[in-house]
Amino acid sequence: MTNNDRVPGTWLRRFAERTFDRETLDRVILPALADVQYECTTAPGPTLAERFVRVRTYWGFWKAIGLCLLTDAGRQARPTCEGVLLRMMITLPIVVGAIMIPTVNSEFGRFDAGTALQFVLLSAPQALLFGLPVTYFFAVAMDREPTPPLRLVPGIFGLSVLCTLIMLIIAFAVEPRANQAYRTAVYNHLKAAHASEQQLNSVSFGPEAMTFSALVRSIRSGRSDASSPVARARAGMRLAWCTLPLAFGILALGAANRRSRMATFGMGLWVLALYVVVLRAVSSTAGPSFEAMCVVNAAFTMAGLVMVWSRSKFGDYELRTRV
Amino acid sequence: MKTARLPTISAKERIVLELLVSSGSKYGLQLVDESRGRLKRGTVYVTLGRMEQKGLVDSQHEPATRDPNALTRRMYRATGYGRRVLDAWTAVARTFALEPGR
Repeated sequence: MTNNDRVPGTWLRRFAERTFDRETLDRVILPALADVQYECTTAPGPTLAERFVRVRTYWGFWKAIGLCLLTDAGRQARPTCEGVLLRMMITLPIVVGAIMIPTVNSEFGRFDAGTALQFVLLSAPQALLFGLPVTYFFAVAMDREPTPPLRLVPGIFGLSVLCTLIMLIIAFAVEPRANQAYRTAVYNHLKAAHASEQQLNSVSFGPEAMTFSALVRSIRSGRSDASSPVARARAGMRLAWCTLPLAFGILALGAANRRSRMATFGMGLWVLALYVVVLRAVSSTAGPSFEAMCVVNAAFTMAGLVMVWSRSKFGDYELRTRV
Repeated sequence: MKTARLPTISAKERIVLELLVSSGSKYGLQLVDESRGRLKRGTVYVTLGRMEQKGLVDSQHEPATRDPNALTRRMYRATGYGRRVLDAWTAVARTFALEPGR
């Protein structure tokens, strides 16, 4: 028994009961905790040996907790990930196709098939950039499996980060190059058609876009646009701030109250609109205001917490498993 | 023709089975102590939980003799199925060990 007559591991047991499902608790956590209690109560007096036993036994217990968290997160996230990815695979071609209809219509009406196809393909990254979050939003918003919200969190968070990274790569690496190639193709086409000087000058190549790789390089080496550690840190912040909002926003969406679908829908559109603004601000050469990004991110986080709370309070699921 | 799926065991599961078959029922910590470092405290219950799920071992709680608020430890033993799987894998290992030139 401990000095204050409390069984060792009482708090750990409460923590585990709120975190793990019954099976994991029964098979792994409680037997490990029983060992912690046994070793702590049978250890020799208050000596160095007893401290060593305590450290060793708690270390083993936390290792078991870590392993279970990993395996549990994977197992719980799997159905969510599979459902969301399946819906995305079905809807992404439809959404991107719908976005590109005006472009296809316009290019094929004006140019021969080869040139039109080239222009259409060069427009695809931009369509994908807008189509991906829209598709992802609907795929997550449609996920209404009878699963407690906390179980959805690992899957939805992982998918959000993945989706955001793909969007960042498209936004900073693929899209600027595709846009420049598009402009060059238009310029060459006009030149070949003996267009006037005024028409040729109308093709704007725009400012040098900051690419994703340049941003990452600036964070790692400081040789690009950031030369001091402070500037590197600021560049890192910019990358983090443009990744986190979508992750938090979608997290809030996924855990939102099942009964208020319209609120969820509105929230989703708000998230997407703000995200596009943030992404544009980050990709511009001027850079976003740090304070403005903080406010946006704080708003997303607060909204996420409120929605998770509202679901736990008014929703139809228990937030935790109890033994 | 549909073939039956053969049961597989990991190296750690085999160590656990060997210890349980050779000396009867054991607590998790006893298995760790007797494995001479091959089983770790942090992973032994994950392994035992998985083996229980597969039906290779079963467990029962020790009689509650200490503080009623304290958790009772679990004693593990190999099931008949677990023994057969271990026998089969031992036979397979022996066959391949005797096969020359591989």
